[in-house]
Amino acid sequence: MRGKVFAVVLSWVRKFCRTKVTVCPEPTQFLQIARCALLAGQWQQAADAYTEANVSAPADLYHAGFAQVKLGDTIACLRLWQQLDCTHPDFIVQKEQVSLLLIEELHCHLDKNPLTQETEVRQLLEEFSLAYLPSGGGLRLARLWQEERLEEILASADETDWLQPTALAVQAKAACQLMMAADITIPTAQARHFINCWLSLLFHPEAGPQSEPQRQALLDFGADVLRRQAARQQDNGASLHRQWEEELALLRRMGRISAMPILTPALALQAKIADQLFTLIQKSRDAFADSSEWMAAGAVYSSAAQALLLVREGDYDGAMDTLSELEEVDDPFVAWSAAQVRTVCGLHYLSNGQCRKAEQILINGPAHWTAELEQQLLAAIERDDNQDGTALAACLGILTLLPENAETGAVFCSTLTNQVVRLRSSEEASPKLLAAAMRKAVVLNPNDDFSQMIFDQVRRDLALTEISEAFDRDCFAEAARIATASRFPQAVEQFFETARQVAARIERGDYADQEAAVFTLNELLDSVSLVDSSHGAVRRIRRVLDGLRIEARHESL
Amino acid sequence: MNPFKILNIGPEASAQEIMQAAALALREKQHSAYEIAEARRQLMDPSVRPVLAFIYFADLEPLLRQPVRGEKPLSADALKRLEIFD
Repeated sequence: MRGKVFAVVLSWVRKFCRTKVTVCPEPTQFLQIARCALLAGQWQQAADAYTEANVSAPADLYHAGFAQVKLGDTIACLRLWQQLDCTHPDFIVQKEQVSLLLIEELHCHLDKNPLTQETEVRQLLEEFSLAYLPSGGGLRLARLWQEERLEEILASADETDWLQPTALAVQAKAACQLMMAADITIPTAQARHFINCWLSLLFHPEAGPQSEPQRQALLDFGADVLRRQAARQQDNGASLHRQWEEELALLRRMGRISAMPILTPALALQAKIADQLFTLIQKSRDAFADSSEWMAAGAVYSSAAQALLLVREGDYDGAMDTLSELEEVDDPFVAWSAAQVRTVCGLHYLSNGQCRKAEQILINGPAHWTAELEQQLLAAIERDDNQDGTALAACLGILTLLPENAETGAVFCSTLTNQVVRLRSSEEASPKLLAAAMRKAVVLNPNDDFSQMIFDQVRRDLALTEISEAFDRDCFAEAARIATASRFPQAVEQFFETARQVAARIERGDYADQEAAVFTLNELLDSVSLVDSSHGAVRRIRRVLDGLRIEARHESL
Repeated sequence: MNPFKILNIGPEASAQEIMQAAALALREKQHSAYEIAEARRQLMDPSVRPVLAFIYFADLEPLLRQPVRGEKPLSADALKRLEIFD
């Protein structure tokens, strides 16, 4: 019975398809026609009828799209299916299959006429979120490799599925060939890309070399290719070598921990597997020689990885911008990374002569005291040729981070002393700064007699300056305190000499107000008596004071 | 330059095949004698050749197969109507 009904409907559809319709059916009738045509495999009629019916129900949307793809119009199909909110696995797979058909179609268009089609194709890829569809990108990658379009392979790195072993292999081999062929200085980012791809490929369990000797031969070859390019890169050559060495060591160790593909930190971020690798490291403390090595390995895959990559690329300001956010995260690996960012940025600014900025970065948060920091700090103190000692002041701030009993204490002591001797002769640096520098120097090496001598001299200078400043402010008691506390006879002598000068000025009548003059002299007398009541200056001041009092009495009479 | 391409040989070519390919390349004159000699020297070196083979050859099959969740390559004709919407 059912079969008979279907046969009747089918014959009616076929008749409808052959007959020119003059009466416009209702939308529901169009839907019925479309469904029947679809069942009959009449894709064109089904597609036309669905278009007329203006579909909205999920089943109709699906079938309308299905008819379109059967007619070869994958774009129309996907536009209809995009309206479907369906997560059924069969539907997802079929949608991906249609997406692949579209991608292949688009790549064909691109290959035929890349210049005119590029924009349109990109818009379509974006419309259907297909830019990162692995297989589509892979197909294009294969085509580019076959046609030896190495530059284009490099340009497609952002769209590459790094978890697909062949895609990784193609990218790595293309990067290597480009490096081999380069007889000019290539961008540093390209050299870093080579390191990332090449090391990730060589330690890939599936796509990499199948024996250790072959891996070593390929590593040696890669190192040689990199060496030649790094020699051309004046500023970044050393950084490229460091990246190679650090990431080679990291991947070797990680390869022993797990059989899963291990990517370098930058590629792991792109491939979105950094979290997995981070978890792997977190659970593998025993695989690392010490906690510092463990922290360093985990840090580059942690949420601080981006900041560390920015530092490596020389974007120190960019890395510093992320610091406040990182320092709020309660994770030992992230905390280690933040301190590392502080240290490296501080080092950078220190080596650039921006000592004040370096000081702010290094002392305003946890930083790692490293041998390199020690060397840079020494160099910064040594090469400081400012006359006012601003760099020395900043370096003194950084020196507070120097661990106690550091082996380099004696070196820092002698370097500080030399700088203080130079600055003291220039007479522009503040005596307070010089005294602080020498105080630090003798703490670092108490057995250095020359430093002790210079320390005494700058302390004496400081006492003389402070006494003079105190007299300028009419703070006689403070000047007396400084003179008493100072164990330098020159300071005491200067105190009394200045006191005599003040008394002489008053006696000459420099103070118009007699009452104020008496008050000042009284204060001066008290201060002088505190230092040495038997000093001749005391008698002199008293005489002047008595003279003023007598004069005042006569005037009142 | 890709030495395999200069001599027009595959990664598994024997020493004799390399010599023959070099002679042929010299006759065809598509590359300079220096390039051909350098390609031959590299490929005859047992320590260099595996490295170059690794760099210049790639098995593209996995990319060309377009694997999507284990499905075979499809054309629109092969798509089957899903009954989940019925």
